[in-house]
Amino acid sequence: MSEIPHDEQLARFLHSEHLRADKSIKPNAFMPPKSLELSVTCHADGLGPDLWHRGWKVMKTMNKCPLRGRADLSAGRVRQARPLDAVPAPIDDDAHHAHVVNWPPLEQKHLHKALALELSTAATFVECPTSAPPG
Amino acid sequence: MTPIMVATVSGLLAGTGSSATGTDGLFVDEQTAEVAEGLSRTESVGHGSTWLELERVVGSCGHDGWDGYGATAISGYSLTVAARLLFVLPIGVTAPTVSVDPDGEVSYEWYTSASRVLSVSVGADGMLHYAARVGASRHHGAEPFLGHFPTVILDLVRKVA
Repeated sequence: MSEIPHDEQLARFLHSEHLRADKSIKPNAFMPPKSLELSVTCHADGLGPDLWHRGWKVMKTMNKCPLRGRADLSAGRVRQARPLDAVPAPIDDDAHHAHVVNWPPLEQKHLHKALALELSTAATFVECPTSAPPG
Repeated sequence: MTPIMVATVSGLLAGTGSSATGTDGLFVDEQTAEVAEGLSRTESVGHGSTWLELERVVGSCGHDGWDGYGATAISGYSLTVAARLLFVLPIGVTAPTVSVDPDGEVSYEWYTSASRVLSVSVGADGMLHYAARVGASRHHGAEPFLGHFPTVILDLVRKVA
């Protein structure tokens, strides 16, 4: 499986709990789950509307908090936050799925917070163009 | 919001730090706690907005998968510790905003800008994990919550807020 190029963009889909009032991104958007594999979507190849479709799919369990947007940052920027790395992790219905990996052990949560703060500060917020899923 | 969660948020201050003995001592403690709780919940003097946010996140993060990526529902234990921590945040210190981490722990944030921000996660076990940016400096670490607001974290609050 090929490595994700440094300049490839990675998207993390966001809802209201991930955003501050000024629409800046909170660090909890990049805190890893217990598996220590943070899901992101690669989109260097111009996925366009299909990218938002994937976002709505991620948020399908949310009834009251619709998709607000996404946090974009490059794979190279993720790797600057050492020791993190971004690796392909295709799943059945999403060939563009990837993981941010190499998080410190679970008990060192303060390191997770420091890394998540760095990623959230580096990421760019892109607002979702629609307030409801298409079709 | 579940009844248990409502009870947790509303009854969090019970048993906070009394050392009184005898009927009179207990009465004074109860009255003092009532006044302190009232002040703490006001917007102008205390941290009323944060109390409201705690109740809000119970509603929005109260079920597994609340973030779309499989996050754990907000932890009642973390919520209890978070409320006790808020109660001992000195009155007059800027109130934090509230987030929830994917592991269900409550997180307090003091945010002025991207270069002046402090985030503190409240562990169900009473550990406080924090990370901050203060200008070019970066800070992170863990402190136990022993019933008073940890000095290290309070110093960071005063630097970023």
